[in-house]
Amino acid sequence: MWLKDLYRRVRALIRTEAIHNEIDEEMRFHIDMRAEENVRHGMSPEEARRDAERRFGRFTRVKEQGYEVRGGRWLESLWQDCRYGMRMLWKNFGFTTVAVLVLALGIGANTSLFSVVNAVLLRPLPFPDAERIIWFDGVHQARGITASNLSPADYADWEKQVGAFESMAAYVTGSANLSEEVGEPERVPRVSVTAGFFPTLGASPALGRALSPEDEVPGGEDVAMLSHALWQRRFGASPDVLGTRFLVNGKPVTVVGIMPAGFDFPRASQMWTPLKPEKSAQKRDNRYLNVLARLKPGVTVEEAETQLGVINSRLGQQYPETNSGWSVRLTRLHERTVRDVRTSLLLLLGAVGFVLLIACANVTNLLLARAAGRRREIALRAALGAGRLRVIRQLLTESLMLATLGGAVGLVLSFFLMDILVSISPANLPGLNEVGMDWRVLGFTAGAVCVVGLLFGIAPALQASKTDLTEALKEGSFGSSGGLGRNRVRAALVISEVALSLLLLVGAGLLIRSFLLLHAVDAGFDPEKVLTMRVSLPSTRYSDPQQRVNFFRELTGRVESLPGVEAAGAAISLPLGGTTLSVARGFIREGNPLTAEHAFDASYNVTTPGFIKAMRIPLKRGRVFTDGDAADAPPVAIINESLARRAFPDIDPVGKRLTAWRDEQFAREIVGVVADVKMGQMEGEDRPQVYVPLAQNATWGALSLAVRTTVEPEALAGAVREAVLAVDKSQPVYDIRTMEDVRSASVANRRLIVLLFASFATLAFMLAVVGIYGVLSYAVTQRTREIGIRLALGAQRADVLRLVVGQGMRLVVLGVAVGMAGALLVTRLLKSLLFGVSAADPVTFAVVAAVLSVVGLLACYIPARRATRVDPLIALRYE
Amino acid sequence: MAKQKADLLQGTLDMLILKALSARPLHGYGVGQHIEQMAEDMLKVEEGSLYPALYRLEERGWIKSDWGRSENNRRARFYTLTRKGRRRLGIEEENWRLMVLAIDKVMQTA
Repeated sequence: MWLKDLYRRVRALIRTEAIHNEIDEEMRFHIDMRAEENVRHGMSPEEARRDAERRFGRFTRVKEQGYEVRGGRWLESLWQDCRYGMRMLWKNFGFTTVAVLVLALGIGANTSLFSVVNAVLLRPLPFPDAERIIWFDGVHQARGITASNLSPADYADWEKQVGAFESMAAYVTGSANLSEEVGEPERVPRVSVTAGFFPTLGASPALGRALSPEDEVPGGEDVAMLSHALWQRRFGASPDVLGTRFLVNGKPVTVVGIMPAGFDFPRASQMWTPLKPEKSAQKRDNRYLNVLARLKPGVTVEEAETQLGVINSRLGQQYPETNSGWSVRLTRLHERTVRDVRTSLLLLLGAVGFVLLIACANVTNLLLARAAGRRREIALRAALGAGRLRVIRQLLTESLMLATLGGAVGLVLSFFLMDILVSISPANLPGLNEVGMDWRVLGFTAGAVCVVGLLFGIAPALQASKTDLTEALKEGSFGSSGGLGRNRVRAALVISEVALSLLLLVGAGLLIRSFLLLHAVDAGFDPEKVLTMRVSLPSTRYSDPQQRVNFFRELTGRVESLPGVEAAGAAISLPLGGTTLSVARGFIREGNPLTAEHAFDASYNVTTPGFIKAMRIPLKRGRVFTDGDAADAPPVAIINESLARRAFPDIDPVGKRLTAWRDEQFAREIVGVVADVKMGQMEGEDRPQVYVPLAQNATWGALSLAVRTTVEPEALAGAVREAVLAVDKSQPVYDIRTMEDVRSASVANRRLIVLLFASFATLAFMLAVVGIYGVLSYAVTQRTREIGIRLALGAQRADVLRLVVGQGMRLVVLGVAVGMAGALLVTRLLKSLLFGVSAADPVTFAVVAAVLSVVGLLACYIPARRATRVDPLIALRYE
Repeated sequence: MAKQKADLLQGTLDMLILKALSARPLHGYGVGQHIEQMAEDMLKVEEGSLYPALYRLEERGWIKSDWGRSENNRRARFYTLTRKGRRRLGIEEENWRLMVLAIDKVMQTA
């Protein structure tokens, strides 16, 4: 019924004129009939007609009513409201501009942040039925492991025994040298995958074929699939690329397929090659695979996890040494990719939402102030017959128009803000290149506009429509010192503004403190002036481990003799996540039986002798490696303090031995103890570490060179490269960075969050201060007469100052109090982002409260001073 | 009719209109005529009250209107009683009779 009614009204809106004519016609008909009857009763035609028309009386009123029933009155009056609203906004251009800018800022910031949230958190993975793709995390509760890679032997067993999966896949990420006979060798991210990789994801090649199980058979032809970008860049997007061969790490490889544009799973990979089983794969505890699976339709994650659990406990019993205590946790792939960023993004969205609320409060205050000036106009409209509801509707329409204007400008602004956000975001943020305008973002903006418009419109509309008719019409342009009700609303608004901005400032303060504390953490080495680059020796030309040892010995020798170089060394892993390779092994102290219960995990770093000196890792006891620790010399190791504390609590570890009990069937003598080095993130705990000389374990051919310089590290990059080429002229280097860069990158995420949060907090703060100033300023203007009277009656200017400042500070203090209470409740949401400070850190709270109070005081003081300058004579003349 | 009586009669006029339309659809002029004729000219329906009443009744959904042809083949807007209206008529009639009964009782006591 209301739908039919609405339909009728909308139709009527289009046929306005027609409806007016219809009603006219109806009236005409009646008049004609009456005239005819009059003639029948003996009147003359003219008299008959006059009489008929006279009877009709209030023609217009009746017509209006008819139109209202039949027509689109409702929509037409809405249109009228809009036009009137536009006129009003145009008249008060200054006010409108300020309000629109404030709103645009708030809405623009929200929209751009939401578009990031939309692209990163809400966007589904670009694979069919992506909710069925599952990620495997290895878990060992007793050892505190929550997200480990998996082993090939376990993977093979799961593939055979678990029925919940449609298909499974495993992969290892890495990189590879591409080269042809001529031209620059290039290093690209490459991932080795099992044949089930593409079916599990649901992705198929755009050209050619996907990898198949036959490709994994050792001894066969080496094949590869390329990404669309790589195909374009290196092979000119030529359709004949299938079947061509090129060199990967020195070995010839045939191209069999090209992936569609945009596919680069995982981690921006450009090349997919078959995962060939390695010798070490036999060891059940060599966990280096990333594993995915696709659930069968209808199977839940819990069911799959249960099935896996059964098999894992069986494996634990069958192979206690390697599998006891290990389980697998399953998460949806999408969930896993966003897990780390979700909290931060949502917190930021909340923060920017607060900013918008404060902006709304400011606009509401502006509107309330303006409403006072419009009392006459509104009173007049009421007198002309507009009901209270009608007036409210008109004022709300005006607010919504203002909000729409602000939203439109904000939308434009958000395009720029989005670009900025994308450019400062870490590159590995999933979905980053999808950030942009889409329907959901537009819908969000529209929703925000409506909510905002109603939010800041409702209070002034309600207030203004309560205007007492006679009182408003009687007075001059300045009313009396506005109703108490009005001021209460404004006071409440100011208090909430102060409280909200205090919340944000406390949050920002906590984050900033965390960031600074993190910076002060001792990473265990000196990151200043260290140049790093990675060198990856291909196994084709360096098949003998001794060759690798010789290469690096010669290289470090050459580099150390360069001017400006203090020391040089190489290692398979750099601190602070500077390399993606990290190896951990289980160690047993000598004297303990070689069983799992006596083993403890330690990171295993293979280095040349100069590395520890180049990184300036403090040596606590014993010595560093020398050239004398060669392949034929007794096996040695250096441990860190954490390991020393853990395994050799009260004795000097130097001289004692440990065994990497499953990997090396011999014991190493500990020759030195160094300080703990943060290998992962700065926030991470210190873990046991073992260093081993390259000469005694050259399994790996890819090492990072670390060069300590006396000059700026970048200046020596060219010279070091030359040194590499001098040892082997076809050896590229890659990943040239300073350790400062590495450290910076390791805190990049955190830094970004702090930056954004602090910006929002500052914005909120400024808006709140402006709000306080505005309200007090207005209050002073309103009370000019009262102040004049007081001064005339003998009050000192200082008293007036105290009066006004007191009024203002009461609001500020209340706001601070409410804000503190709120902050105590809310900051615990930040807990996962904090470091070294608690969510209720008193110092931060106190500082923020103090700053806010002081600035608030200033904001009160300025209008107060204006108040003291009131000339009583002029003020009293305001009759 | 005096203005005061017209006010009193507003609800009653509605009822009379509904009754007039209970037999068959009529145009606005016809409704007025019907009521006056049925009342044997004891009532006079003013145009100023008739049409507002008609529009009010239409808004409430008790009558509906559409174009039709009058007796002398002129285009006129005809009003028809709806089902809701018919039910309303019954209620109003009932209420009217009860009120008349009550008033009579009071007036009869000396």
